[in-house]
Amino acid sequence: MPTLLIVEDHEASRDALARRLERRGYTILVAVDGNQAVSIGRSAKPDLILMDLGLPGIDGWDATAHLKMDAETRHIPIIVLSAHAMPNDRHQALAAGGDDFDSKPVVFDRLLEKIDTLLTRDGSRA
Amino acid sequence: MSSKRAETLFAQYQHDIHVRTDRLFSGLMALQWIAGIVFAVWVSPLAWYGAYSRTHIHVWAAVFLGGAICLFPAALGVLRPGRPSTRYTIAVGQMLVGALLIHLTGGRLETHFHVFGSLAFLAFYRDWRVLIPATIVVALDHMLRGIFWPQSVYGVLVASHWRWVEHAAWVVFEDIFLIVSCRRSLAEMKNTADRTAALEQEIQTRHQAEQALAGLVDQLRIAQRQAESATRAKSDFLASMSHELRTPLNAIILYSELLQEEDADAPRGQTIRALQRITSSGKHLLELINGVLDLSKIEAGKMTLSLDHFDISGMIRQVVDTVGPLVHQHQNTLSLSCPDHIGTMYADSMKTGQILLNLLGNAAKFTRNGTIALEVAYEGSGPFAAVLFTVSDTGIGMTPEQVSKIFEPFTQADVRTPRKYGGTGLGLTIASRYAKLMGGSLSVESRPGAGSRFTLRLPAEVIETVEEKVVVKIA
Repeated sequence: MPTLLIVEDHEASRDALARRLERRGYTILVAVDGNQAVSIGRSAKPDLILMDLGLPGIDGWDATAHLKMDAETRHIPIIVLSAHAMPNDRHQALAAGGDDFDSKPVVFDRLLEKIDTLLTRDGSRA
Repeated sequence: MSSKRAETLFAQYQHDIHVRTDRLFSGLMALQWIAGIVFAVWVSPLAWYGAYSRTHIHVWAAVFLGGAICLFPAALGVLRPGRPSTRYTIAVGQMLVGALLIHLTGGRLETHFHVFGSLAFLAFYRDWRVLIPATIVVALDHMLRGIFWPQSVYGVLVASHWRWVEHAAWVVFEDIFLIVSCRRSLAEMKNTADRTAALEQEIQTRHQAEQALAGLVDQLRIAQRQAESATRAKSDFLASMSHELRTPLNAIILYSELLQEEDADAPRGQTIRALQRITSSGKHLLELINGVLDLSKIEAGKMTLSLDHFDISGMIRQVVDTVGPLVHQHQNTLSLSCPDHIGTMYADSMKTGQILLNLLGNAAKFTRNGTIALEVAYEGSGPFAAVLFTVSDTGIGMTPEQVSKIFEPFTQADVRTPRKYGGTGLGLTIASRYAKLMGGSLSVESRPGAGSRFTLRLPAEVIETVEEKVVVKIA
């Protein structure tokens, strides 16, 4: 089953999302800030990353940009998950290199569809 | 009406003319002195006594007498220009030059024209008073010399004692015209001064008005900047608030859904009801946040329309499919009346669909075992063509008081318990703002117990209004 990296500093959100995704059979890795996200992304090479934006240390935009600039991690699809729900936030998230955007609170079924779409796309390309 | 400023201007014009004419005469008198000497030398350079000769007395007269009567007024014209005494002295001097000239030519009649020329020149002062001493000098000169030395004035040895009167009369004759001319000229000058003063006044008034206007514009700019920064602050606040509310809500919804899923695997019975309530409360809260954000966007004029041509019946089909389960929930039937081939309209299809979903959803919510009807019709043609969507139900209806507040935010909560009917209390507010944003309207007719009838009227061709900001009172 694919491995997902959840980048989220809000503990409850991180835990709940991880447990729900684990129930769907995904292997879950977690990172609590931007630096961890980049290092785990490089070392573990997850199949997909769920990225929060407002993070301590380097934020989600920068972490996304780092991962997308690195040849090793560039191929990993990133879904930006943010509680910033203004129209501009979506543009900024996609401009930073995110492959998709969804707002929090997460609509779980919709998120599953997006994960599935990106993993399928990625798998068919490889 | 002559203002103080006009009087000052008039005095200044006069003074300028006096000074200019004084200077003119200074030059003219010096020139006449020299001309007199040249003339005397040319006509009678020498006086002969047999074989002897010496410089003619006329030459000396031209040099010294001429110098005395010419140079003193000329000096005054240079040193003290503009004073009345200067121009009176000049007038006397100028007339004496004439007398000298007549004398030097031995009373040659043609040289009397110098007198008339001088008077005309003096009229340059545009001050008729200078003509008085000039005239007196001429009259006195002719009278005295005419009586005692007629040869020097008339060129004859014997002349009538009254001949000077005739000469003086001609001078007075010219004076009359010159005086009239001076007075007219002054009147014109006065007129010019009045008009100039009035013009200056107008320019000043206009300048003051312009400055006042510029001040107002500045104030408006400041007010605008303040309003803009207040709006920005409000937007920022809303964005932050939205973020802050969403974060815990995310955890609440995820956990409650997780527990429901886990409960499905290993049932714990009673907790499931509580969890469902947490989930639905969380979702309701999310709808509220989204509704408030939409309203604030409309209020800030940031809600944009995405206009497109779309098939009306296609859009209606989608709406009916979506709302179907809700309609049938309370054993209602949905009746749809839409002409075949109704065609297309140019509007925001998403927002139009959202309005209709809201209206149909409300109808379904407040009706039990009844009928909900959606009618669609074209109205009018050309640029004023409109599409009418009518949603009517046989539900509980509303009192006139409820109807009057139905499009205001959060009014439903006041009149009906949300526990029974749900909803955010923002749906109809947003729906009516969307209708207005597209240049249309949303209206309602209702009576308690007799159901409600909402009419959405949209232009068949919506025109984007960029400038218009729809102001909504949220609080």
